[in-house]
Amino acid sequence: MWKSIVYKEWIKIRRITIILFILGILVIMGIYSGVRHDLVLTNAELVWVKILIMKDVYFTLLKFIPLIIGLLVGFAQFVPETIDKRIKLTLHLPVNEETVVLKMIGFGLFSLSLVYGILLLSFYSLGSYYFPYEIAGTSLLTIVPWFMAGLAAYFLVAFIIMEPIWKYRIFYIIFGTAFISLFFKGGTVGDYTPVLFTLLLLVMLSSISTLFSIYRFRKGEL
Amino acid sequence: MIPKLSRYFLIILATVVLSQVLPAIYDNLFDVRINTPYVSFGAEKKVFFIYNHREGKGPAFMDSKGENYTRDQYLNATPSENYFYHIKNGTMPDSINGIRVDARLLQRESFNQMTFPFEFSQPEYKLYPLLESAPEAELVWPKDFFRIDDGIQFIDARSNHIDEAKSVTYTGIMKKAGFVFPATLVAGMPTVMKQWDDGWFITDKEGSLFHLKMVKGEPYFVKIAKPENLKIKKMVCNSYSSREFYTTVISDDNRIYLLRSSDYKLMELPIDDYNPNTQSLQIMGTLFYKTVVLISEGSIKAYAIDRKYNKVAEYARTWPVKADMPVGKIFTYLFPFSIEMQPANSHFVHFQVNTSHSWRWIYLNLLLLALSFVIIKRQDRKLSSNIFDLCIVALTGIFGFIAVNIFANKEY
Amino acid sequence: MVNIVECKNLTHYYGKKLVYENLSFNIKKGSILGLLGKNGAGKTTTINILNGFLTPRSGNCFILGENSRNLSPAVKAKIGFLIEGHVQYAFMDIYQIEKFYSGFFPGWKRDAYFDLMSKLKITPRQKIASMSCGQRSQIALGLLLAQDPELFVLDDFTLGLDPGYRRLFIDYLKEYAKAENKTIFTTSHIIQDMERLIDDVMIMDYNRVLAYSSLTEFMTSFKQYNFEVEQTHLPLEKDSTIINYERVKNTVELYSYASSDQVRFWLNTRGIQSKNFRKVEMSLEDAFIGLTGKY
Repeated sequence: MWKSIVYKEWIKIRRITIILFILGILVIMGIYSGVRHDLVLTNAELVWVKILIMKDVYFTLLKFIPLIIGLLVGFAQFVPETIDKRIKLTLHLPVNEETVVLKMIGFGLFSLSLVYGILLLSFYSLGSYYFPYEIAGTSLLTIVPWFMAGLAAYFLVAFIIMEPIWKYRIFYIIFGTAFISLFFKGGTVGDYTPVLFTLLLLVMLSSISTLFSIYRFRKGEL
Repeated sequence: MIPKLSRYFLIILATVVLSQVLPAIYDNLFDVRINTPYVSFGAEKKVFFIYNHREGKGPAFMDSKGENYTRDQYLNATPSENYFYHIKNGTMPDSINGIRVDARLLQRESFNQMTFPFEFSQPEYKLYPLLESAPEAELVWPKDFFRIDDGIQFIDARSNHIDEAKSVTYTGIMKKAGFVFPATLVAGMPTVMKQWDDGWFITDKEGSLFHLKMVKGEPYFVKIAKPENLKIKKMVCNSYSSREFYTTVISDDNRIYLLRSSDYKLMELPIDDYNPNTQSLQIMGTLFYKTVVLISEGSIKAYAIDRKYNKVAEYARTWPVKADMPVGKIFTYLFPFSIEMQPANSHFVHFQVNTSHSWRWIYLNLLLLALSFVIIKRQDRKLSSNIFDLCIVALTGIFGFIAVNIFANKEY
Repeated sequence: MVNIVECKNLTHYYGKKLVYENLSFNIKKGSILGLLGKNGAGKTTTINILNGFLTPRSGNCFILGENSRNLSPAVKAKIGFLIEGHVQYAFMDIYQIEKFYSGFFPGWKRDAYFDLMSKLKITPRQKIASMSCGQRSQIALGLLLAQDPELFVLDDFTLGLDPGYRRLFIDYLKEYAKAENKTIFTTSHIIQDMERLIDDVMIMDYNRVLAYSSLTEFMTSFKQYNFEVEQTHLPLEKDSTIINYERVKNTVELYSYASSDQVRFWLNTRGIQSKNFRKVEMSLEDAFIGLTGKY
C-alpha cells in the first residue's frame, strides 16, 4: 500500500519538485557566486566588514524560495486530488481514510525535507568555504525560519485545497497568510534564534490540519 | 478522535497567531504620538532645561524651576551647551564659571551618548577587527578578524584561514597577562570613521577585565584592576575627542561606571535606579558637568554630575503613556493578553506574552462566551462536545472566539 | 438469500430541504438494482451514503454487514466504485493507474484489465486526461473488473458515452456479474440501458420512492392505457387508481396499476366517455415517464 501511495504522489510532484530543487540550488550558487565576485573585486576584509559590522545580509535572494517551493509542491500534490472531487477515489481505497491522507502528507513532507535539507547543507557548506563558522552558522540560523515557513505553507496549502467549502477556504487563506507572516518578521541576522523551537512547535501544530478538511468532506460537506 | 485533535491544534495555532496579529493591527491603526522631552543641564544657571515639542505649536523651553523660556532666552542661558549657536552669532563669552573658554575646548569636552535597551539583547557575530591603534595616516580595516574561544584566533578574510603565527603570539601574550579563556564580553568601536582606535575591552571567563590593542603592529595587552564584586554586563565604547574615558561600563547590578583613560580607574556614577531593560541611558558631557538621563515610556529622570563624580542636581518628570489614554484603555477592553514578537527592548524575535494590567477584558470575554452559548444552541449542537471551544473562548476572549468559529465544530 | 446491502429508514436533508425520508431498501447477493429518478431526486445522495461520503440525517446502511458510515478497509476492498463522469486520476496513464491500484488489492486480475485495454486505440503513454469519455469509461470498467469486487456501485455509468460504448459496458458487465454472482447497484439517466441490465428497480421522485420491486413485476403491474375523447373538460384526477395521466389533443394516456376493467369502471363513474380504450405496451422509459411525469 505504501508503495502505491508513494508511486502516485511521486508522479504528481516529481516534475515540480525537481525543477524547484534545481532552482534552489541555482539561487544558492548565485548567492555565493556574488560573494566570490565581491571577494575578488574588492578587499576581502571589506566584504567581511559589510557583513559583520554593517550587518549586511548577502543572501536575501533566498528569502521566499523555500516558501514558494512549499506552496507549489502542495498545489501539485493536492489540486489533482480535488478536481472533480477526486478525493472520493482516495477515500474509497481499501485503507483507513486518515492513514492514507497522513501518508500522502508524509510523503510530501519527506520530499520537502530532503530538498530543504540539501539546500541548507549546500548553503552552509559554501558559506563555510568563504566564511568562518560564525558567519556561516548565523546565516544558516537566519534562513531556517524561511524553510520552516515553507513547511508550514505546504501543510496549510494541502489543508486549504482539501477544504470543501469556499467560505471556509477564504478564512483559512487569511489565517494561513497571517501565520506565515510570523516567520518573516526578522530585522537582523540571527534574530530568530531564541524562537526557532517555538516556531517548530507551531509548524507541527499545523501538520495534521488536512485531517480536519478530510473529516469535514467525509461528513458530507460537499 | 484524530480529526478532533487536528481541529484543536488548529484552534490553538490560530489563537496564538491572532493574539499577535490583532493587537499589532490595532496598534498600527490607532497609535498615538507621545513626545519625549529633551533634558539638559545648564552649567551657568545650574538648572535643568527641558525642551518639549508640542503638537501644532513650536518647541517649548522650560527650566526645572518651572520658568518658561523662548528659544532665544534658552540659547542665551546655555552657552556651554549650545556653543555652536553662539560662535555663529558672535555671542560667545570669553569665560564661563570663571574658566577661560574657547570653542575648541568646549567642543573637545562635549559628547552625547545613547544606549538603548535592545543593545543588551541583540545577535552578535563574535568576530572582531583589531585595527592599528596609532596609524600614520587614517585608520584602515585590518586584513583579518579575531575570535576568542580557547585562544585568540585571527582569521584572514581573503583565505578564510587562521593566521597561526599571529594567533599563537597573541594567545601567549594574553595568557601571560592572566587571561582565562574563553572571553565573555568583547567591546569596542569598530569603525574607521574616527581619528584613532582604542582597541577592545575584554572580560575573560572569570570576569576579569583586559584591554587589547595593536600599536605600531605590536600587541598591547594589559589587565585592568577592578573590584572583585563588580561583574560587568555591558561596555559601551567611544571615541570622544576629550579622551576622558574609554568606555561606559554597566555592571550586573545596573550600576554605571566610566573607565578613565588616564589611569584605568572605574569611576562610578552616582546613579542607582538605572534599569537597562526599560530605560534608555543618555550620557551628555560638557566641560563642566555630565548629565545622565534615564528615559522610559512615560518618565524621564535626569542627574547632573560634576567632575568629581558627585551628584549636584536631579530632575524627574512623568507624563501619560498610551495605556492611560483612551486608545490604550480600549486595548485593555479588547485583549486579555497579546503576543509581541519584536519587543522594544530586544533585537531578537521573541514570543513575548504580555498579560493585561487590568481586568477590563472580562466583559468582552463573558459577552463572547454568552454569544458562543447562543450560537451552539441555535445550531442544535450538544454542549458536551463543545467544552474545549467554550474554555478557549473564556480564557482567550476574542482570539479564541474567532478561532473556534473559523474552524467550525459542526455536528453530523 | 443474503443481503449484500441493507438500508433502513434513511432520511436526509440538504439544509432545510428534504431529500427523502425513511427510505429502506435491500440488495440481494447476485442481483442488479437500478435506481431511477429525475435530477435532484436523491440518486447521488444515496450513492454517497452507501460509500460513506455522506452521513444521513438519520438511518443506517449496512454493506456486507458493516455500517456505511465507517467502512473498514477489508469491506472497502470488496466494493467497486465508479464515480459519475468516470472520474479518475487523469494525470496518470493506463499503465501507471493499473500499477497504482494493483498495490491495494491482493487478488488483482491484471489480465482482465489489459484485455479490455487492448481494445482501446491509444498511444502507450497517453495521459487519461487526454482521452475521450468512452475511453475513460473503458478504463474505469477495466479497473473494476481487475479489482473483482463483490459489490459494484456505479453512479451514472453511461453518462457521456455513445451507443457503442454503452452497449459494450452493459453487456460486459451483465455477463460478468451473472457468471460470478456479483451484486450491482447502479443509477443512470439513460433508461434503455438500465432496462437491459437490471433485475430490480427503484424509482424515486422528490421526497419519496414511487416504485420498488423486481423489474418484471413492475413492468407487468404498471400499465399504460390510451383512449380518445371528445369532451373538452375532463374530470380526471390522480388518486390511488389513476397514478398519472396526460392529454394530447384528443388522446389521453393514462397510467395505473389497476386492471383494464377497473380503470374503465373508474372512467364511467366519472362520466368520461372513452373511445378506443386500449392497453399500450411500454418500455421502461415510458413507464418511468408515466410514473414521474414529463414535468
